[in-house]
Amino acid sequence: MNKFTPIQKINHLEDTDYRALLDAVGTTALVSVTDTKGTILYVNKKFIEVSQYTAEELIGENHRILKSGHQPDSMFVELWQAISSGGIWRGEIKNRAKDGSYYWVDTSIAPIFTEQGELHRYIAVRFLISDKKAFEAGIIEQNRNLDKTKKAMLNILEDIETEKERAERLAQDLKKFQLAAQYSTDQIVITDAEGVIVYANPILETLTGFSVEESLGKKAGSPELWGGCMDEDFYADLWRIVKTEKKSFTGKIENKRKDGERYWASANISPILDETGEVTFFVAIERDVTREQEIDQAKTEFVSLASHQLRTPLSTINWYAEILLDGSTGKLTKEQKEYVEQMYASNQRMVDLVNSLLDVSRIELGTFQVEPVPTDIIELAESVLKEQRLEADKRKLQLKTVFDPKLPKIDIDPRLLRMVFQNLLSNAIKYTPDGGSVTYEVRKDARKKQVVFRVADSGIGIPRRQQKRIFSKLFRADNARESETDGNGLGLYIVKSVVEHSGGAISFTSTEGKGTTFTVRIPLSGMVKKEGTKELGS
Amino acid sequence: MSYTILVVEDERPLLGAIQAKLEQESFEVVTARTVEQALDYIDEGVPVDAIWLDHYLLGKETGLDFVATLKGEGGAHRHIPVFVVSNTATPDKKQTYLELGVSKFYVKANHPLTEIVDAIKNHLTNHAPK
Repeated sequence: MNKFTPIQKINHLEDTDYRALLDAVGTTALVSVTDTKGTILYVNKKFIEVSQYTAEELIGENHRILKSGHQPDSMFVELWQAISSGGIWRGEIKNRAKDGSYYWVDTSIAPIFTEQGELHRYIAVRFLISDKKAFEAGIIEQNRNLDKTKKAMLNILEDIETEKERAERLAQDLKKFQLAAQYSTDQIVITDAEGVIVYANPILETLTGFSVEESLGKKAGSPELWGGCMDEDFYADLWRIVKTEKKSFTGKIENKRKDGERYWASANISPILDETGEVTFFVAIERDVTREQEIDQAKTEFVSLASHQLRTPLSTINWYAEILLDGSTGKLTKEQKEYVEQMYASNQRMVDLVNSLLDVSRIELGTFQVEPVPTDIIELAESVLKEQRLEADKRKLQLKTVFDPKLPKIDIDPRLLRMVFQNLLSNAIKYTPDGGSVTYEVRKDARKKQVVFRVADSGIGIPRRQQKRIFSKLFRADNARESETDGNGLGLYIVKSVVEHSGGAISFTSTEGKGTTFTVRIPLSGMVKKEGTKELGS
Repeated sequence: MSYTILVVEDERPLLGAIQAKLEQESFEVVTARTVEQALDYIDEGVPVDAIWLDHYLLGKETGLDFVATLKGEGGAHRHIPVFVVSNTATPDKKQTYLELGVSKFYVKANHPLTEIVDAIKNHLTNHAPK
């Protein structure tokens, strides 16, 4: 007979299976059994291995000796609630080994019932997931780092974008300036802080004859290039102003071209400073002013020639009249004498007019010079007075003077001041009827730091409606023209120009029929020296 | 004995007046219209006591060129006093003349003839009496 027992298709384990199960599971899982209070009754080999406690240390202890403190108490409350009501609980718990290190376990706790159905023990199966946890933590850390890196990179990208825009704008501006410099009609040279050329525009070659290529890397304005024509002091001063004092230099320089030809340039050299105030570059802009110099020179020579041409016939008439009048060619009749005297007088007026016109032309050209020297103003005033006293006495004018004896010497050009004194005094005398009075005053105004010169007369005055034209060229007021006196109308224009050119001021008050007072104020600091090609009054 | 004066002036009418006045004052007068002419007189040994010199003359050379040559190094006639009587108007020309050693500089139109002639006479009687 076949003792065949078919496999019963029933899904259950037998008791012997359970023992094997425990062994199998025990190779990877920590297994422990506790009573209902949590006291450990059984631990497997894995449990002992991982927790590092011995069986003796664990059995009889509560499971909480393995508590790490990582899980909140609420979790354990939940755990007990689950298992004490007969349910299974699963969760991830961080426990503490005997040496204080930590381990993570994926824990399942199930209740064990007696055959009577009473809950009397718990069994816990725990799988080590420390690696997994570490891995997870690692991932989280990595993600966090990646996030930070991402943010940082985004910031950097943003900054790069901003910088790119700025650079583009700067490049555009630079392009504009570059074009401006390239196409300027002035020579533009840029050097480093030592004067070595780093850039030059094409005008360099036009002006100096040296090409841009052969000039780069050399010192601007050095004798090997276009410099060396001025004296040493000039270049030393220039360098001091732009490099040491870090100021701009403006002036005229004589240079020489590559072929040796000399020319005059008007130059402006400016230092460029960085944020710390140190010189980083120099920018030099120059243009050829030889032509302008030549024109000025030509104008000056023209005035010189013109004066010669005009004065020559005047001198001829003057001197022949003089000879006639002195009787050496024979005695003149009364009538003849009178007529010749008229000719002589008229001629003198012409001479005065030519002199005045020459002064005007110099004022207009701006070429008259001011040569201040320490001058005793009172002495000057008295000498002018002496010249005119004869005329004043002839006309029975009372000349009163008020001179401040304590007036110090002032730096003025005596020729110019003499002209001013002469003009104003002679006007006062001319336009005051016989028997009138002229007061002539020179004093110091300490408060305003000026010398005050005043001429007051009791003369014909200037009509109110014509007063504003009194300083105009060739203007003479109606009452002056009607009177017997002559004048060319240039005197006051010249006086005003001279006074103002010297840093002073002129003003007047006048009432027709009563008199006029002219006041001239010159600063006590004196006149400013001015180079010129001409002297006024010569 | 009278003084001899060399008048260097190219304007004829003016020359006439100057000569008349000088001769009236007992000067011997020699005249020249160019620098070359004037220098010839000097080099020929004409005994000139003073020179009346204008600036602009006939020809290219001016009074300045004359004075430069006369008063130059080793010039035998350096000592002759020069009176510049001109109508030009540049102070640098006047400055140059004075630096070259002329005795006086007059602007023609501003002075009576008598004044200049008297000044020359006084200079000569003071410095080189005869």
